[in-house]
Amino acid sequence: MIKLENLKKTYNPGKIEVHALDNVSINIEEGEFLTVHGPSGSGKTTLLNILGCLDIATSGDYYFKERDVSKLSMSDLSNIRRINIGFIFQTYNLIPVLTAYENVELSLMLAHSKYKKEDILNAMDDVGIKDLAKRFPREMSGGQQQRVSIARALVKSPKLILADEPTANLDSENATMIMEAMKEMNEKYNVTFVFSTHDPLVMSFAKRLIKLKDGKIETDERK
Amino acid sequence: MIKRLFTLAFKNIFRARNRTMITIVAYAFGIGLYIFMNSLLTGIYNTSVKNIIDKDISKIKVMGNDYNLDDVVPLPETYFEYTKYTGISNQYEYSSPDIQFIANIITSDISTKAVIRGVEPDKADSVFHYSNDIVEGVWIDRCKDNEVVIGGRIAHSLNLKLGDMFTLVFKNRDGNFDAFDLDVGGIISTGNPNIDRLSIFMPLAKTQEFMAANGLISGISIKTKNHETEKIKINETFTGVSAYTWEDLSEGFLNLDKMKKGFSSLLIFMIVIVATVGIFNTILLGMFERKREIGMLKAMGMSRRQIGLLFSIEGGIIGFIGSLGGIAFGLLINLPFVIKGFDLSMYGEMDIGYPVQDVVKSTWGFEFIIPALILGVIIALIASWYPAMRAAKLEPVKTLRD
Repeated sequence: MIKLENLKKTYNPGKIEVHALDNVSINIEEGEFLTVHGPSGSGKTTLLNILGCLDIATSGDYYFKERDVSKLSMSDLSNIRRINIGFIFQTYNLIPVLTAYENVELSLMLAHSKYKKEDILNAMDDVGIKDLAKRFPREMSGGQQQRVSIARALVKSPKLILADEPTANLDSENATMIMEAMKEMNEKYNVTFVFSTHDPLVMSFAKRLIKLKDGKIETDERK
Repeated sequence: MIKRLFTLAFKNIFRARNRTMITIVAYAFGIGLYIFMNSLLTGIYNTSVKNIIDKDISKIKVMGNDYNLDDVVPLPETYFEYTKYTGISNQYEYSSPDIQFIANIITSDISTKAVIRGVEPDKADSVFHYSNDIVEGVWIDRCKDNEVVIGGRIAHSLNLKLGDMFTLVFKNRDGNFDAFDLDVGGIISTGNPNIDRLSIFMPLAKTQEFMAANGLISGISIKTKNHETEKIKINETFTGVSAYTWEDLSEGFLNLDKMKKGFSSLLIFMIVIVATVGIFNTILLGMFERKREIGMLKAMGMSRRQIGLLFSIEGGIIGFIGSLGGIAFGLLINLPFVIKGFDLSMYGEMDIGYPVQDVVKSTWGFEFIIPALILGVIIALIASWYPAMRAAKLEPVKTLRD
């Protein structure tokens, strides 16, 4: 589903160059549940940003569902994100003025012009927060907010979900529950999950572990 | 999607409630002033025009060919023979010939200048309805031989009462000074300062005799519809005279009105600009505070256009609410000026440049509601354009990291 070939991302080209990614080549199949880990500055977030079409590589090719997206405009990348990619962040990034239901609905609304209320409630039910539909983010715990963000990512039935340190702000109990929920979704809907993490708990759930160091793949292990 | 953007925008603007409310109040103040000032100036303008047409010039005035628009009254050299132009009187049902000249009025202790208006009582009344404005005594049709009708303000300033005598001193058409003793037979109050502060009415025949202008007149006032067309017709039909519309003869007032409205618009514009800066500031601060959120919306696939639209809608909503508030505020502060009016007499005899005096009523101002609303929203949209564009151009990678 995803193919990266000799991907490079260089900051400050022509000046003091920083190689955030250096000749990274990866294949990710549909339904994978993988983590990208490594020390700070190893290029994890940069890789996730490029995979999520939030950023573009300096050189190399990126094929998403056999389409070369490395040379697309920002507008086209926005369209790919809208329909195919869901995001989960460490800080949840819910819209504070919208209820849990509305947060999930907004994602679906952007992706598909026609949808049913049940689609939203089902996505919320999948992660166990159907009862919190009318609550605002400030009225929910961190774990509950993260579940809303998972429902928001899932509701549009994306091909790929990118999760950047999703358990970093959660206690171990909540982190485990969140990971179990995502694992379940991965198995139920065959949606691909890519995590950027330091958390051994997240890595323990992964089927594949990619370790980055200085922008290069140091190891790529499958369990 | 648009509906959801509106809902989101509406919720967003009340996130910083105090800031938004201050902006809305400032905006409402500017829009309210726009409504109030325009209503008041329109009220003054309408009263002025009514005073000019109904009490002074009428719609058209026919003057001698050599009449100079800068002269306060026609000079005796421009007088023309009335009998040659009876066709004008026959053609227009409501027309009034007159002679106007300037004279000094002298009482036992005070002297002042006045415009003497010699008119045919019935004809002048048919055009100007002066008999309805007599506050004391009678109109000149019922005055005794030596009596005249005097403007209320002159009578007051000269301390003249009904039956009092004063002396009229003037230079006649032959260049000789003459003086006559006259009695006050009536006091008139029209609301037009040109009449009330300056004019003395007497029969046309008497002024012709005073001015040694037998059979001559200085002008004919005509009340008619379509005055622009009729002016052209008269000028094409009659030689030796020229027809002027009330607008031609009120250039000074009209220019002053334009200038005052321009000045008032400028003042209001500056207030609105200040309020606009408020909207700009509110939206821009909102944009800075919500950078991460904008990044998330972009990550979810919201386009630049939709992000820009979201912030523009936020500005537009503030402008719309501010404008609605401003309209309510403007109509409210205007209300006493519509019902009770604006009392110009507090400025004494000061000439404000408009042919109005005493109490002037403001218009309701309903005609300014739609322009105020459109103007309010458009200005708000313009004010929010820059923050909206900045929000649209934010890069999600950077903002999500903030």
